[in-house]
Amino acid sequence: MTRPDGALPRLVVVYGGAATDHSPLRLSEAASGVCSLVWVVAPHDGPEDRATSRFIARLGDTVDVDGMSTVDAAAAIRRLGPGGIVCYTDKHLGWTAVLAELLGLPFFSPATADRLTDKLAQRTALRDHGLPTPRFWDVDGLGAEDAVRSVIDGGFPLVLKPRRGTSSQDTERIDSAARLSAVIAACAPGRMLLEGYIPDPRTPPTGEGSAPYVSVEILVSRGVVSTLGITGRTPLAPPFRETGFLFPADVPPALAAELTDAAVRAATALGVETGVLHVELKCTDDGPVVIEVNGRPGGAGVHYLLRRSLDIDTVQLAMRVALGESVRLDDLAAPEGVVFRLDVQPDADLRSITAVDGLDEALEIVGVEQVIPGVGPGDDVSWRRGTLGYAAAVLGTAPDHAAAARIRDEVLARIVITGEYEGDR
Amino acid sequence: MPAITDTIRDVLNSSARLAVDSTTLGDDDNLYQQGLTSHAVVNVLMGLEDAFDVELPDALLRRETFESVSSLQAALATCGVTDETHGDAS
Repeated sequence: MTRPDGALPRLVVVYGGAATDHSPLRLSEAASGVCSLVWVVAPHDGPEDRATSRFIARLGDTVDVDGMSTVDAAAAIRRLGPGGIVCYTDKHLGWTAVLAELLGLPFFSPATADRLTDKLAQRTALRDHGLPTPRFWDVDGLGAEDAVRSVIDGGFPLVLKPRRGTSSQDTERIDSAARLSAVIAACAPGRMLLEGYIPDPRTPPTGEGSAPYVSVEILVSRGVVSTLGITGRTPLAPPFRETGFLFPADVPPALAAELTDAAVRAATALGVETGVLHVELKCTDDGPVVIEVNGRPGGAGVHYLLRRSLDIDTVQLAMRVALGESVRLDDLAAPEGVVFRLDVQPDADLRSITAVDGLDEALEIVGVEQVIPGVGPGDDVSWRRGTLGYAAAVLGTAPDHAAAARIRDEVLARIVITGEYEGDR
Repeated sequence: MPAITDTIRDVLNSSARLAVDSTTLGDDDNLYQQGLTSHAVVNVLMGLEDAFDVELPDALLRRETFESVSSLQAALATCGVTDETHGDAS
């Protein structure tokens, strides 16, 4: 994919910031030998991360679009002759899609980007294409008493989630009419989606120690879909925080085929023709139900699993297809053993951390290869941070799923989180 | 004057968010295994460059450079930072 002058093609990476994106170092490594990166820091509403900005400036060309209109930003980027564009954060997919359209580069169309980031638009598209979905409502439409009554008549539990959000942040289970009325009254306009809870299967089809939901990692290159693998999950921490990823998922072949088929149908329904997708699905008695489709590779956890297990770099794959390369990955070798990432979550009622003990002891467990501290002493915590509020991430490998489950038990026994609860203050 | 490796450990303790105190680690122990993330590398780099008043060559801005206290020491040596020059700077 070199240019006529022998140089590597230039790829625009719309960078979302250290809090939500892959690290600049990882992106730079993924680009090695594939392209040279043109860094565009997406318009953001948080404080500037000067250290990251300085670091990025040493990794490639940068375009400062601060204060520019999207049209002006496109003009500034065009001068550098980009051959493709990528974005790895949900929050900036829409802006990147508009930019790509202005630059004439392959990416999601703005309409598809909207369906990939607005859960209401996504649910609507999936339903319209015949995929099974839970009942869902735009909370803005639930102002009238009879509208709320019809929701209540359909039964509980319900799930309230931001229309645009990641990592289960601010996602809450609703079990009563009183709570429903309270959250509807408190919701800011245009922000929240209400869904029926996707029912748990009577007999979980995933193996012991696995939750009944998975993600399917897929690659779409010029409309051709390759399945990279299926990632399993350990049981959620309340209300909807993820506690661990297992690759491959512990699912029988017939179910794996169903899950893959549903993920591909979902990608088609949303109009995806290129990119790497992370599609989350729940296994129910009536078959797989899409939880959500993400228009980017899975985050750091899934990236690690596929790289460690199959030597596949999903970040790099997204770069290659963005540059127009036709990539098809069929008949991937079956992974040996199980690679895991376990996220140790604080209790949902904990409000601040005083100690996280046992991190060094967790590192001594056979199979554990890495322990990454998360929130620590002095940090305030809340379930509203979702999965990102973990106290430790523990990564490693096991010979099989049963061994991975035993390691998880041991990790949870060794890492002890203490702190103050709501009533303690 | 502290040895280079002592200053490296000070920087790691203040900016790397490792699972353990870096003074308990050997020079060749793998820092990623102890919790160093590629995000935290940014702060480690800035901390080292401030502490030693150097700028590492851009070609060294890769994962391997930050793998251990030894690899960081080797990277600093390319900028002329040795225990002798580190002492002279004081």
